[in-house]
Amino acid sequence: MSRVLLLGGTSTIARALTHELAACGKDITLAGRDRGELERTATDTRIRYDVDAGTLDFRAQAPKDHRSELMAFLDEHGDELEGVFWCIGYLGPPPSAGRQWSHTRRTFEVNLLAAASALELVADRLEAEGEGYLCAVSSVAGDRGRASNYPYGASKAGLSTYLQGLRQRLAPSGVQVVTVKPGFVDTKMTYGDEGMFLVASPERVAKGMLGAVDKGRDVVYVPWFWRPILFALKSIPEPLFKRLRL
Amino acid sequence: MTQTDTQRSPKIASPPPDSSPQVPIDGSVASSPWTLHAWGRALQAPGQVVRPEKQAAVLDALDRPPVGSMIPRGGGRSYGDAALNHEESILSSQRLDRFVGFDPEAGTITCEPGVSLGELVDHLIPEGLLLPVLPGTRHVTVGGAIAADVHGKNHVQDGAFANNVRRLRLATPEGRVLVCSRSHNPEVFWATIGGMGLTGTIVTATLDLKRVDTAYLVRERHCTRNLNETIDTLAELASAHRYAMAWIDASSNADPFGRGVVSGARHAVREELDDVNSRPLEPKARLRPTVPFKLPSGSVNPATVAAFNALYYRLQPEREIDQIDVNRFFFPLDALEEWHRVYGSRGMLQFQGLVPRSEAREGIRALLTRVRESPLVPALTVLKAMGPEDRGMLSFPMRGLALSIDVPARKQAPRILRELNQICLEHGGRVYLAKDATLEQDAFEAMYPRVDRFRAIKWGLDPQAKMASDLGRRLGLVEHGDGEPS
Repeated sequence: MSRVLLLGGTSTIARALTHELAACGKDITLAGRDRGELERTATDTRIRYDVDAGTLDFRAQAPKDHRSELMAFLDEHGDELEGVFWCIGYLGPPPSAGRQWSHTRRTFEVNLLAAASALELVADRLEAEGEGYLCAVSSVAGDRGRASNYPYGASKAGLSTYLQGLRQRLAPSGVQVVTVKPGFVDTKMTYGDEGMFLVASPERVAKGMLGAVDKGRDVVYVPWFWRPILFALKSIPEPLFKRLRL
Repeated sequence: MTQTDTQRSPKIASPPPDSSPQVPIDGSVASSPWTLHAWGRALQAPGQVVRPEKQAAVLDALDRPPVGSMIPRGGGRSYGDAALNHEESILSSQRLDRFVGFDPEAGTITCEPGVSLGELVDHLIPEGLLLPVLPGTRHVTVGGAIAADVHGKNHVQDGAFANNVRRLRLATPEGRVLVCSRSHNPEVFWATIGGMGLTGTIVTATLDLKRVDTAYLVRERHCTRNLNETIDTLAELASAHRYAMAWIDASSNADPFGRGVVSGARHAVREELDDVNSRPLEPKARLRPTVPFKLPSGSVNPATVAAFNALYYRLQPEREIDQIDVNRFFFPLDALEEWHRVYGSRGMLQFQGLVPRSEAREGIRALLTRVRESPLVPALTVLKAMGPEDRGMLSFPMRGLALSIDVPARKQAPRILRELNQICLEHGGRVYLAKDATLEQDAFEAMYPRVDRFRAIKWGLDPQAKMASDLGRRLGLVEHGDGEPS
């Protein structure tokens, strides 16, 4: 039996991934900080699909704790571990003048620091096993900094670059690193936000992510049309871009 | 078992083309403005929808709704305004859809309120299990089924959805989570069952299951030539079979009046299955054709209905016994997804009322005659036998005959439906709130004598009237009447 670890097991995308993976017979471990919710999803997974589903404590903002928990998990399950998904993200309010620092700090601690901390441990383990995959949810927001969400965008840009380097490091070992860049997704993170368009369902994003892993892709935009959109966005010269209200 | 897109697709149209995102109202709980519709699409109302994914978020939403009062909403299959709350808040259970516990030996399952009955059937049938009571569509959620105390074709023998419910956990607007059952907080239990979401929101429900040998039923169908024969045959089949119902050709030129097709069914056992079926617990694969766009408004009219009915009736064998799988039998309406689109942009309404046993024959005849003489187009008319009343304070079923008539929502429809409500009341009967859009408060109070007991329980649970809906306001279930909460 092979097992998949989802870091951020209560995230909407992780729940959609869990259904797809469990339907394919994978055992699931859901990691996060809300034990009750993780257990509920694990129970649902065990009932619906004939797989094992467990939980793991993972607090993004407590690196010492999460590193030791994660190391213990990797020691115990490393040989059955097929892959790991990073589905943790914090989206703070749009930046504005005033008390902004707590949100910004949290954004970087959760989206970048915790990711680097966890993925480094996972990478070491998968590299030692010589197989497996690491698939992380980044964002199109990381492709270009915008006034409306630059802390989030910066953290995701950092994550994407980190993954890129990791991909190069792990290429010889046969371990896959997939960077997923969704646009707007209908999750609890964005529910009720205005100004969204071309919103994708979590199910569609999950299918896109699993498809990317299966096909050995490196960087995928989900859905596909965000790639040309971001290409266009990135092509706008900075002297013009800075004058746009985005 | 995979979740298909339709099963996991939004139960609120997402995003509906006829609503434009507005500035979200400032509140502690994330909400999104939508225009919500009744199932028949004849009614709609804007509202702020909260869509929690975690149980803690449910309690937050109850505590601090984005605006005004709040009503829970599941599959949105009510035909009236039960899950509409004009410019106030809606609590969607769309993402509260997990199984929380399952004990196949004991025959129970516990789940969150957003699990649909179709999902449940899909999960249970391969295990040789089924819910004892199922309504006519798979898209009703567990929460909705409890709130409306839905019934199926087997009410005489198996009662209503209440009989599936062993226990439920109710989150009240005052921040409590109550365990309710027949022995524990029974008054809250019986106010919540059939309570149209007005007592709070269900956190989890534990349902009792029954065993079935196969995914198939043996069905017997008889053509009947007039109303008396239809009613008599229905009574006969309802006592001989677990499930029974009658389709009636109610179109005005149907001759003789009240002809129909009556069917009775029971679960099939392995030995009697037709096909060399090595997988008796596997229903046939569901094709899911849909109506891809709204038909023009006049598509369902006396001529088309009369023609369809005449053809349908002619195609029925005089008498036939066949085998049918659970999905086709229990959920015939779902054979065509989005079937309400045939009614065009004006949509449809439904009259569903029952007449008690003593007056059943005259009452049904009076109702059908009124329809026949009116400009209403009875597109689909169904008659079911109902068994005794249970303890749900606002539950619909009681011993008698229940008549459902789907009609296009023309301008005169509400007025004529009110006349049907009145005829129903005059015969000592009542109207089903899950389908209703036209009942007035005084008629409602006459039909549901336990309403005062319901109000007392509701006001005790919800002194600030935080749970409300358009239906609740229409029927006088929300405001504290003469001033003082009990």
